[in-house]
Amino acid sequence: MDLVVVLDWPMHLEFPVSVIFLGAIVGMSYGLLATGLVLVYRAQRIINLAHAQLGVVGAAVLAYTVLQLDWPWPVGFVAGVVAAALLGVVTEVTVLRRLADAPRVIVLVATIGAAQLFVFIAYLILNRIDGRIGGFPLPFDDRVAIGRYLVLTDSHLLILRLVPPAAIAVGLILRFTSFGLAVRASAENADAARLAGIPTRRVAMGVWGLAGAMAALSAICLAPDKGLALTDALGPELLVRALAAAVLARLMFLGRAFAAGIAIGVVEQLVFWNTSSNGVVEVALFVVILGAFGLQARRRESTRTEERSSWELARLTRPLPSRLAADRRVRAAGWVGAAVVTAGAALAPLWLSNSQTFLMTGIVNLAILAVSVSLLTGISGQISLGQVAFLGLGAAIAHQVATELDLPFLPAVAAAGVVGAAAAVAIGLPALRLRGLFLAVTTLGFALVSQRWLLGQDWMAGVGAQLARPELFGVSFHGQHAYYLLALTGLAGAVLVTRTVLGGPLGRTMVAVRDNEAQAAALGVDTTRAKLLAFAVSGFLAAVAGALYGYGAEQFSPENFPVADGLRIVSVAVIGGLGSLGGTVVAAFVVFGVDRLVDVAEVRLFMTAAGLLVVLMFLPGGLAGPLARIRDAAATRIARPTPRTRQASPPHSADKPDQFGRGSSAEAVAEGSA
Amino acid sequence: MTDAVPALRVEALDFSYGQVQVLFGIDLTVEAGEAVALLGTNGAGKSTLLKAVCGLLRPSTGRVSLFGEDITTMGTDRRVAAGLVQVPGGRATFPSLTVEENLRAGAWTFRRRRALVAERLAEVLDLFPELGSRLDSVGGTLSGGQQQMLALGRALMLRPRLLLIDELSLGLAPVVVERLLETVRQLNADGTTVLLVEQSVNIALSLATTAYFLERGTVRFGGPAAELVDRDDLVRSVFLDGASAALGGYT
Repeated sequence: MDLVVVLDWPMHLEFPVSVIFLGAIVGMSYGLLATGLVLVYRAQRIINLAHAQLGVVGAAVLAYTVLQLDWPWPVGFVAGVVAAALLGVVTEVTVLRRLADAPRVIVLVATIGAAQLFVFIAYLILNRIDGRIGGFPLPFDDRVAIGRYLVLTDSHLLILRLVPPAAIAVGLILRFTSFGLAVRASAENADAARLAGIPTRRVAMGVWGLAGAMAALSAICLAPDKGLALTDALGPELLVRALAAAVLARLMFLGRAFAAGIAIGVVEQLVFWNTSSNGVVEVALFVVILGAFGLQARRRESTRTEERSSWELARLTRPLPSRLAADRRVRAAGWVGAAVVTAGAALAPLWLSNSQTFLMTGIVNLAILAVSVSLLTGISGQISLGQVAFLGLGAAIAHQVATELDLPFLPAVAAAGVVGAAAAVAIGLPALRLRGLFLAVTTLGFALVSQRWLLGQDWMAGVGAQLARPELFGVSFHGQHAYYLLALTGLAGAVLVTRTVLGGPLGRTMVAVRDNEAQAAALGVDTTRAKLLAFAVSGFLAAVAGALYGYGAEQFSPENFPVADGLRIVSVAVIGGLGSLGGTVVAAFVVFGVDRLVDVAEVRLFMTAAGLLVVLMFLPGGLAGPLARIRDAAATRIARPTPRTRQASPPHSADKPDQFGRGSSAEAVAEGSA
Repeated sequence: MTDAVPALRVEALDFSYGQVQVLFGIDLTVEAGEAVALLGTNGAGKSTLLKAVCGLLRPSTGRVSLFGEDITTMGTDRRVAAGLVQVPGGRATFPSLTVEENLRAGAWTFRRRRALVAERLAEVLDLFPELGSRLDSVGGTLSGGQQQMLALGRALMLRPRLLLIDELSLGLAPVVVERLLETVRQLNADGTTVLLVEQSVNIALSLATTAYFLERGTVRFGGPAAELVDRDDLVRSVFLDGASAALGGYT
């Protein structure tokens, strides 16, 4: 028998009580993931986007040892948990320790790279299992019916048997052991902990080991439902659920995070039971995240400022020395260089096949998107992990304007840009209170809402949308090469717009707000306006990129804008060097070029993941650093006085600073695209 | 001066935060059993020097030795185990840990010797009875004076051979300061070597026999505390610079 609950307020809900039980069980796995996130965050102020993937490696080891080596399940289980714990320790020592003093955005992106590397490792392990037809191995094959409607499957029973003891064990370890005391002390005040004789590095290794073991347990519990397609399965949906639970616990309280995970599981099951569309769950989660942040921002405005203060950015590249920048020959060479690069890019399709040109068009659009991220994150200091949402939004709006209003290409692109700007401002409103890691969570949630719900609505892209490539001023852009040129024009426009914004007062204002918000406000800068304008410009660019993408693809659906691409775009902006337009565009071509044009999956996965980590560890300023050195060397050569010019003009004439006081930080950000 | 090995010897120490050098060729000696004051204006580099001595910061050049042993490249936790303990500035307790947990954190290096931990805990609570009555309170809820006692108590759990104190008096009521000073004086009398960083010359000189004066990252004076009092040029810069700035430069 089963009790059926009927609620009429706040909305009509009808469900058997057993659904709550089921939701609680599923929610425990979210809770365990969230607990791992909170643990790492507390110890190191890192939101570890690689947490679930760390666990996937453990689950892969379990599958391999049991299915391939015929180890007994419990032995394979221990092997998997230990493997993930060790991998966690190795990650801490090799990657995160090196980045201990790096800005938090770099560390965040490093965890994205680590996540990709873990997926690669798990992929290699799973590939070594012969005959992968069977599902994920389980220790038993039980089924229990609860109530009249529901059956607990073996994976639910696994959760029920493994997770509660594990959660309690973690709680006890932190509360009562000296390791736990050391973790809590280091989390509160790392310097004071070291002065008390606590070896904080070893503690960090312990934290990562524990987090790895917890992640493996989560993945092993979630894996049976996903079969052996593990590497794709534990994606952004899971991450957002775990993050939502973690932020409900204010990224501080482990027990609360676990409970919040359970609550999210229950809500999710109730929604499933009452609606057919699972996108509603994402919307509900997004609202929960926003609500939680809203309450927190009010409660502890002044008490925990480290999220904000630690959110300084990657070091920006030096501008060209003003003496060189003012030299007429250097300027001319800059324009010539830009013209050569543009011409090269425009002519590239002559050596490419039609399908490669099509892929290149997509890359150009993603480069525009990367520029929008570089502007928002690099210049304005606001992180967005969900910029891909505006890409999808732009495409959908262009589709609506073109089909419903029957307007041509240019108005459709413009409308997409305007709507994108407005949407970005709406998403940016919470950023007036939140910055840094918390904004990262909300934007990630928005990207999921956008892909799973918003874009799928009939008044957006629906299940699929079509756009015909345009004809402009009598010229047809239907061909691959022709449309590629159109997209390239869009990229050039985006770079010029961004450069203009940055060189002007708005750019200086944004940099001032990013570097020291209180000081900027004290000097009379309207910080609200500066932030929202940054969101607006960046949303505009992203949506225009989306419209160009939509016209280029000719047909698209919400699946074309996966949340993972939002993370990837941030990596591109960081690889390029945040705030450096030239570096960002180069990075977009390199990263997406490898991604789209390399056929071997192993090579592709490895290059994107390992490449990102290598750049972060050895080029903390991104590609912009070496690019700036090349530029400086070239400029110095060009500006070297020839005997004749030395007589004709005194050398100091070029030294005179111009009226804008060159060398200001606004100029520092305007460089790089030369 | 005795021939005994000094408790702390800093030789030709340079330190830079990135491109900005803040310490220039610091030489400083603390004899065993002595109480030494490290004085200087705001931003002179006193706290930076303490952090470098404790290993929280890595000097670019120079040498630090503790009771004759070179500790220049040693990690902080091993320095602590070797008897070099700092009470950090700004009431650096662990605000969400209880008083007892705060004190136990100080016993990390010998955490497995439970009897010893209990013994040291009892000693510290004997010294600061007001902490004993609040063992289960969270550190952040204590008064400023009690938090400073807690920070000092946590350091004393380690029974340091050389105790470094960063700004004992900062923001505390004179009564409380006197109470804490008395404790430090007693520790010193019992044989603990003390290096005290202070902005308040009076407090420092009431305790220390030797004084160093730091200005813009260099040692301007090092010698008997009594002699520093006569160095008007130095002491005035501590006392009067602030005053003249407050008066808008009417000097």
